[in-house]
Amino acid sequence: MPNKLVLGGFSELRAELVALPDAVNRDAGPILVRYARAAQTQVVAAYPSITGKLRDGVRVVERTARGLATLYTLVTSAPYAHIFEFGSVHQRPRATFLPISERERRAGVVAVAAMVESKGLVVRGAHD
Amino acid sequence: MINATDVERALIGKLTADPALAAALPDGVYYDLAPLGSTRFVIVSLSSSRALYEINDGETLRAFIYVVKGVALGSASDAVAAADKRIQELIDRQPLDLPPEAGATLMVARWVDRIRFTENANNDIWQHRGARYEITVTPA
Repeated sequence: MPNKLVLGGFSELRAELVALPDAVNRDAGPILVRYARAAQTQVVAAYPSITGKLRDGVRVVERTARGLATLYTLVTSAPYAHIFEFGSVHQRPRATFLPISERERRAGVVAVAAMVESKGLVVRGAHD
Repeated sequence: MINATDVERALIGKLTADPALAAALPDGVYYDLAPLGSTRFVIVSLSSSRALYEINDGETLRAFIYVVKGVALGSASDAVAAADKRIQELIDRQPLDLPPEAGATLMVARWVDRIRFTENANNDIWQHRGARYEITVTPA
Protein backbone atom coordinates (compact mmCIF):
# COMPACT_ATOMS: atom_id res chain seq x y z
CA MET A 1 0.00 0.00 0.00
CA PRO A 2 2.17 2.90 -1.17
CA ASN A 3 -0.12 5.59 0.30
CA LYS A 4 -0.20 4.18 3.78
CA LEU A 5 2.74 4.92 6.05
CA VAL A 6 3.68 1.93 8.17
CA LEU A 7 6.31 2.91 10.69
CA GLY A 8 8.27 -0.28 10.84
CA GLY A 9 11.70 1.31 10.79
CA PHE A 10 13.61 4.02 9.03
CA SER A 11 14.36 2.09 5.86
CA GLU A 12 10.70 1.09 5.51
CA LEU A 13 9.61 4.68 6.13
CA ARG A 14 12.01 5.96 3.51
CA ALA A 15 10.74 3.44 0.97
CA GLU A 16 7.14 4.45 1.66
CA LEU A 17 7.96 8.15 1.25
CA VAL A 18 9.75 7.54 -2.04
CA ALA A 19 6.76 5.63 -3.41
CA LEU A 20 4.20 8.21 -2.31
CA PRO A 21 4.57 10.79 -5.12
CA ASP A 22 4.15 8.15 -7.82
CA ALA A 23 0.98 6.87 -6.23
CA VAL A 24 -0.51 10.33 -5.79
CA ASN A 25 0.49 11.31 -9.31
CA ARG A 26 -1.09 8.16 -10.71
CA ASP A 27 -4.39 8.97 -9.04
CA ALA A 28 -4.26 12.70 -9.80
CA GLY A 29 -3.86 12.26 -13.55
CA PRO A 30 -7.38 11.01 -14.30
CA ILE A 31 -8.85 13.77 -12.13
CA LEU A 32 -6.90 16.53 -13.83
CA VAL A 33 -7.57 15.33 -17.35
CA ARG A 34 -11.28 15.22 -16.57
CA TYR A 35 -11.26 18.92 -15.65
CA ALA A 36 -9.05 19.79 -18.62
CA ARG A 37 -11.48 18.05 -20.99
CA ALA A 38 -14.42 19.78 -19.33
CA ALA A 39 -12.75 23.14 -19.90
CA GLN A 40 -12.02 22.20 -23.51
CA THR A 41 -15.66 21.30 -24.12
CA GLN A 42 -16.89 24.54 -22.58
CA VAL A 43 -14.44 26.75 -24.48
CA VAL A 44 -15.29 25.09 -27.79
CA ALA A 45 -18.99 25.56 -27.10
CA ALA A 46 -18.48 29.22 -26.16
CA TYR A 47 -16.37 30.13 -29.19
CA PRO A 48 -18.21 31.23 -32.31
CA SER A 49 -17.70 29.14 -35.42
CA ILE A 50 -17.15 31.05 -38.64
CA THR A 51 -14.10 29.40 -40.17
CA GLY A 52 -13.88 26.80 -37.39
CA LYS A 53 -10.27 27.71 -36.57
CA LEU A 54 -11.05 29.08 -33.09
CA ARG A 55 -12.82 25.89 -32.05
CA ASP A 56 -10.35 23.59 -33.80
CA GLY A 57 -7.45 25.27 -32.02
CA VAL A 58 -8.60 24.27 -28.53
CA ARG A 59 -6.86 21.13 -27.36
CA VAL A 60 -5.47 19.46 -24.27
CA VAL A 61 -1.74 18.81 -24.34
CA GLU A 62 -0.37 16.12 -22.04
CA ARG A 63 3.23 16.00 -20.96
CA THR A 64 5.30 14.60 -18.14
CA ALA A 65 7.34 17.10 -16.17
CA ARG A 66 10.71 15.99 -14.81
CA GLY A 67 9.62 12.41 -15.22
CA LEU A 68 7.31 12.79 -12.27
CA ALA A 69 4.10 14.77 -12.59
CA THR A 70 1.76 14.52 -15.56
CA LEU A 71 0.56 17.93 -16.68
CA TYR A 72 -2.45 18.72 -18.81
CA THR A 73 -2.35 22.09 -20.53
CA LEU A 74 -5.37 23.54 -22.30
CA VAL A 75 -4.25 25.61 -25.27
CA THR A 76 -6.06 27.79 -27.79
CA SER A 77 -3.91 28.09 -30.87
CA ALA A 78 -5.89 29.99 -33.50
CA PRO A 79 -3.75 32.93 -34.68
CA TYR A 80 -6.38 35.44 -33.54
CA ALA A 81 -7.39 33.76 -30.26
CA HIS A 82 -5.64 36.48 -28.23
CA ILE A 83 -7.46 39.22 -30.13
CA PHE A 84 -10.76 37.45 -29.47
CA GLU A 85 -9.89 37.22 -25.76
CA PHE A 86 -8.40 40.68 -25.22
CA GLY A 87 -10.16 42.68 -27.92
CA SER A 88 -9.15 44.48 -31.07
CA VAL A 89 -9.45 48.14 -31.89
CA HIS A 90 -12.89 47.56 -33.35
CA GLN A 91 -14.11 44.60 -31.31
CA ARG A 92 -14.60 44.42 -27.57
CA PRO A 93 -12.72 41.79 -25.56
CA ARG A 94 -14.67 38.55 -25.30
CA ALA A 95 -13.28 36.79 -22.27
CA THR A 96 -13.84 33.10 -22.93
CA PHE A 97 -10.77 30.91 -22.69
CA LEU A 98 -9.29 32.43 -19.55
CA PRO A 99 -12.34 32.46 -17.25
CA ILE A 100 -13.34 28.93 -18.23
CA SER A 101 -9.85 27.44 -18.00
CA GLU A 102 -9.12 29.22 -14.72
CA ARG A 103 -12.39 28.04 -13.17
CA GLU A 104 -11.82 24.41 -14.18
CA ARG A 105 -8.19 24.53 -13.08
CA ARG A 106 -9.22 25.71 -9.61
CA ALA A 107 -11.85 22.99 -9.43
CA GLY A 108 -9.30 20.39 -10.53
CA VAL A 109 -6.82 21.46 -7.87
CA VAL A 110 -9.51 21.26 -5.20
CA ALA A 111 -10.48 17.78 -6.41
CA VAL A 112 -6.87 16.57 -6.34
CA ALA A 113 -6.42 18.03 -2.86
CA ALA A 114 -9.51 16.13 -1.72
CA MET A 115 -8.11 12.93 -3.21
CA VAL A 116 -4.78 13.42 -1.44
CA GLU A 117 -6.54 14.20 1.84
CA SER A 118 -8.66 11.07 1.43
CA LYS A 119 -5.40 9.14 1.70
CA GLY A 120 -4.78 10.62 5.12
CA LEU A 121 -2.39 13.36 4.04
CA VAL A 122 -2.72 17.05 4.84
CA VAL A 123 -2.85 19.55 1.97
CA ARG A 124 -2.16 23.20 2.63
CA GLY A 125 -2.86 26.10 0.29
CA ALA A 126 -4.89 24.21 -2.31
CA HIS A 127 -8.24 25.74 -1.47
CA ASP A 128 -10.09 27.99 -3.93
CA MET B 1 -24.28 43.87 -1.16
CA ILE B 2 -21.20 44.31 -3.31
CA ASN B 3 -21.87 46.46 -6.36
CA ALA B 4 -19.40 45.44 -9.05
CA THR B 5 -20.28 48.43 -11.21
CA ASP B 6 -19.05 50.80 -8.52
CA VAL B 7 -15.81 48.83 -8.25
CA GLU B 8 -15.31 49.27 -11.99
CA ARG B 9 -16.17 52.96 -11.81
CA ALA B 10 -13.60 53.42 -9.06
CA LEU B 11 -10.94 51.68 -11.14
CA ILE B 12 -11.72 53.62 -14.31
CA GLY B 13 -11.99 56.84 -12.31
CA LYS B 14 -8.55 56.36 -10.83
CA LEU B 15 -7.02 55.74 -14.23
CA THR B 16 -8.87 58.65 -15.84
CA ALA B 17 -7.75 61.09 -13.16
CA ASP B 18 -4.05 60.40 -13.61
CA PRO B 19 -2.21 63.09 -15.58
CA ALA B 20 0.74 60.90 -16.51
CA LEU B 21 -1.48 58.24 -18.02
CA ALA B 22 -3.48 60.89 -19.85
CA ALA B 23 -0.26 62.33 -21.24
CA ALA B 24 0.72 58.96 -22.70
CA LEU B 25 -2.73 58.05 -24.04
CA PRO B 26 -4.79 61.26 -24.25
CA ASP B 27 -7.99 59.90 -25.81
CA GLY B 28 -9.25 58.56 -22.48
CA VAL B 29 -10.09 55.42 -20.52
CA TYR B 30 -13.02 53.30 -21.71
CA TYR B 31 -14.80 50.12 -20.81
CA ASP B 32 -14.57 47.50 -23.60
CA LEU B 33 -14.50 49.85 -26.59
CA ALA B 34 -13.19 53.34 -27.32
CA PRO B 35 -15.19 55.82 -29.43
CA LEU B 36 -14.64 55.69 -33.16
CA GLY B 37 -11.69 57.86 -34.17
CA SER B 38 -9.73 57.33 -30.95
CA THR B 39 -6.09 56.54 -31.62
CA ARG B 40 -4.45 56.52 -28.17
CA PHE B 41 -6.57 55.20 -25.30
CA VAL B 42 -6.89 52.77 -22.39
CA ILE B 43 -9.32 49.87 -22.33
CA VAL B 44 -10.68 48.27 -19.16
CA SER B 45 -12.62 45.03 -19.54
CA LEU B 46 -13.72 42.24 -17.24
CA SER B 47 -11.79 39.05 -17.96
CA SER B 48 -12.95 36.81 -15.13
CA SER B 49 -14.55 36.89 -11.70
CA ARG B 50 -15.34 34.62 -8.82
CA ALA B 51 -16.68 34.66 -5.30
CA LEU B 52 -15.62 32.72 -2.24
CA TYR B 53 -18.35 31.53 0.10
CA GLU B 54 -17.77 30.25 3.57
CA ILE B 55 -19.81 29.52 6.67
CA ASN B 56 -23.61 29.73 6.19
CA ASP B 57 -23.09 30.63 2.56
CA GLY B 58 -21.76 34.01 3.61
CA GLU B 59 -19.74 35.78 0.99
CA THR B 60 -16.20 36.48 2.09
CA LEU B 61 -14.75 37.97 -1.07
CA ARG B 62 -15.21 38.67 -4.72
CA ALA B 63 -12.28 38.72 -7.10
CA PHE B 64 -12.55 40.58 -10.38
CA ILE B 65 -9.87 40.10 -13.02
CA TYR B 66 -9.71 43.05 -15.39
CA VAL B 67 -7.88 43.53 -18.65
CA VAL B 68 -6.27 46.97 -18.45
CA LYS B 69 -4.36 47.80 -21.61
CA GLY B 70 -3.11 50.77 -23.51
CA VAL B 71 -3.89 50.90 -27.22
CA ALA B 72 -2.15 53.17 -29.72
CA LEU B 73 -2.08 53.56 -33.47
CA GLY B 74 1.30 53.11 -35.13
CA SER B 75 4.33 50.90 -34.99
CA ALA B 76 6.07 52.90 -32.26
CA SER B 77 5.44 51.50 -28.82
CA ASP B 78 6.64 54.36 -26.62
CA ALA B 79 3.15 55.51 -25.67
CA VAL B 80 1.79 52.09 -24.72
CA ALA B 81 5.02 51.26 -22.90
CA ALA B 82 4.72 54.40 -20.80
CA ALA B 83 1.04 53.71 -20.20
CA ASP B 84 1.70 50.11 -19.22
CA LYS B 85 4.27 51.23 -16.65
CA ARG B 86 1.98 53.92 -15.27
CA ILE B 87 -1.05 51.60 -15.07
CA GLN B 88 1.01 49.14 -13.04
CA GLU B 89 2.15 51.92 -10.72
CA LEU B 90 -1.46 52.96 -10.19
CA ILE B 91 -2.99 49.52 -9.60
CA ASP B 92 -0.47 46.89 -8.51
CA ARG B 93 -0.49 46.62 -4.68
CA GLN B 94 -2.02 50.08 -4.49
CA PRO B 95 -5.13 51.37 -2.68
CA LEU B 96 -8.40 51.93 -4.52
CA ASP B 97 -10.95 54.35 -3.10
CA LEU B 98 -14.29 52.57 -3.17
CA PRO B 99 -17.39 54.68 -2.49
CA PRO B 100 -19.88 53.54 0.20
CA GLU B 101 -22.35 52.48 -2.49
CA ALA B 102 -19.84 49.86 -3.68
CA GLY B 103 -20.62 47.94 -0.47
CA ALA B 104 -17.07 46.70 -0.39
CA THR B 105 -13.58 47.38 0.82
CA LEU B 106 -10.44 46.51 -1.09
CA MET B 107 -8.49 43.43 -0.03
CA VAL B 108 -5.86 43.48 -2.73
CA ALA B 109 -5.21 44.94 -6.16
CA ARG B 110 -2.44 43.18 -8.04
CA TRP B 111 -0.85 42.43 -11.40
CA VAL B 112 -1.75 38.97 -12.71
CA ASP B 113 -0.24 38.46 -16.16
CA ARG B 114 1.00 40.41 -19.14
CA ILE B 115 -0.77 41.35 -22.35
CA ARG B 116 1.17 42.48 -25.38
CA PHE B 117 0.38 42.12 -29.03
CA THR B 118 0.38 44.02 -32.30
CA GLU B 119 -2.75 44.18 -34.40
CA ASN B 120 -3.00 44.77 -38.10
CA ALA B 121 -6.45 46.24 -38.74
CA ASN B 122 -7.08 47.19 -42.35
CA ASN B 123 -3.34 47.80 -42.83
CA ASP B 124 -3.15 50.06 -39.76
CA ILE B 125 -0.76 48.86 -37.06
CA TRP B 126 -2.01 49.07 -33.48
CA GLN B 127 -0.06 48.41 -30.31
CA HIS B 128 -1.82 46.73 -27.38
CA ARG B 129 0.06 46.55 -24.09
CA GLY B 130 -0.98 46.09 -20.49
CA ALA B 131 -1.90 43.33 -18.10
CA ARG B 132 -4.68 41.57 -16.28
CA TYR B 133 -5.19 42.87 -12.78
CA GLU B 134 -7.00 41.25 -9.89
CA ILE B 135 -9.18 43.48 -7.74
CA THR B 136 -10.38 41.51 -4.74
CA VAL B 137 -12.92 43.07 -2.38
CA THR B 138 -14.77 41.98 0.73
CA PRO B 139 -18.21 43.12 1.88
CA ALA B 140 -17.98 46.39 3.79
